[in-house]
Amino acid sequence: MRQPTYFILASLQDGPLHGYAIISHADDLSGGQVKLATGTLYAALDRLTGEGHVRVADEEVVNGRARRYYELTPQGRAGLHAEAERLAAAARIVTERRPAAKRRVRSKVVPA
Amino acid sequence: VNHRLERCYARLLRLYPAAYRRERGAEILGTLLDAADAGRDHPPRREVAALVVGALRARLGTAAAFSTGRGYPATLRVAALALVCHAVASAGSHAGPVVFRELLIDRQLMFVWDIGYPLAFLTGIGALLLLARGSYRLGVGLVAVTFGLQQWAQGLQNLRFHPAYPDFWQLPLALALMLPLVWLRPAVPNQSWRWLFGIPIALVVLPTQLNEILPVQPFALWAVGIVALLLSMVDPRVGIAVAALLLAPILSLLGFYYLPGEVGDPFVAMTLLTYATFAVPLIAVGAALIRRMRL
Repeated sequence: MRQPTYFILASLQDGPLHGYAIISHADDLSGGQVKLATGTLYAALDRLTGEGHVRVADEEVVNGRARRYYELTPQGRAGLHAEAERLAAAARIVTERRPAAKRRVRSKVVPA
Repeated sequence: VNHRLERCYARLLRLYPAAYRRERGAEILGTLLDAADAGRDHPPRREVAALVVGALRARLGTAAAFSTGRGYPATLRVAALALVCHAVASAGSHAGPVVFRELLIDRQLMFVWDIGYPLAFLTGIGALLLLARGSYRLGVGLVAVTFGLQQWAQGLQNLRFHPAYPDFWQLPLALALMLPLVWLRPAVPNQSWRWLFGIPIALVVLPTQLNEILPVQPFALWAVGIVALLLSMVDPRVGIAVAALLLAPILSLLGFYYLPGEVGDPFVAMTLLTYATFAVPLIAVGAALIRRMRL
């Protein structure tokens, strides 16, 4: 799973969000690493909706414009958790590594 | 609300297909304005780029093609359709003189097998429509019939030289790409009849018999290669499809190169290199981008 997709799905974990809220949450959750352009967000939402990971939860009209709220589907939540576990397992390989015993480097003794 | 910024975004959103705009336009515009920095009256460059790419992808149906991990079958389908388009255009460029000069003016066929070209043109159109609609089994059959008619029209007495003809390989390559589709069955977008527009386009921009009166080659082909490389960044299917189109003349030239008396022809070698110069990066970029199109 690509990083922007991961943070889009992660931003929807706690409930439905509209487009701008997803952009803000993804920015916060990624520590500023994922700054989604609106065009990129909607292309990703199209793809995620097509894949069945995200669906429209609600729709309202704000200032005369439609505003849709998106939420994770059970499949999307499972996919997000599977990816999080994969990343955690990959991180553990480094973070849980015991410090290796100092290797003694023998200097070569060159016979006279 | 900054009205100037809103107008700029509204203009950019016109790049999206009308149906998409009706469904999503107001929502995207709202999000764009929510996300805009205070006091800004021009869209940032990255937002413009994202909207242009998003609009092109919406027009090409990229998101739908690559959903549910169907990227490779969707790519095979587009490449096969492009090859059939070229083959039909090629048959049409031969069929024109047969119909207008031999049948309508002279009212007599020069050779009986000349009728194979108009027949191949008609069956080719049928095959293209069947493939575009997702009837792969019937489409494979009709492509095979079209290929047979094309070979008959070119004279069966010279069959062993046919692989060196510039319009030989399109249909065998299309058949090879279509066979997996019979089982993989990629999604078929609406308005698949639009592939018919590919025939006149192929007639002009790809090598066909028309080049004898319309000397646009090799420039048209270079333009196709450059445009395909650029469009690959938006939809990798385009690059792979054009690479498949270039593979057909490469195979013909290889056949020509190895025929007795032609070995070492520097013109053939140069032409081969020209085709390969576009085909190789198109395949590489396309394959890399198809992998990137995953979630």
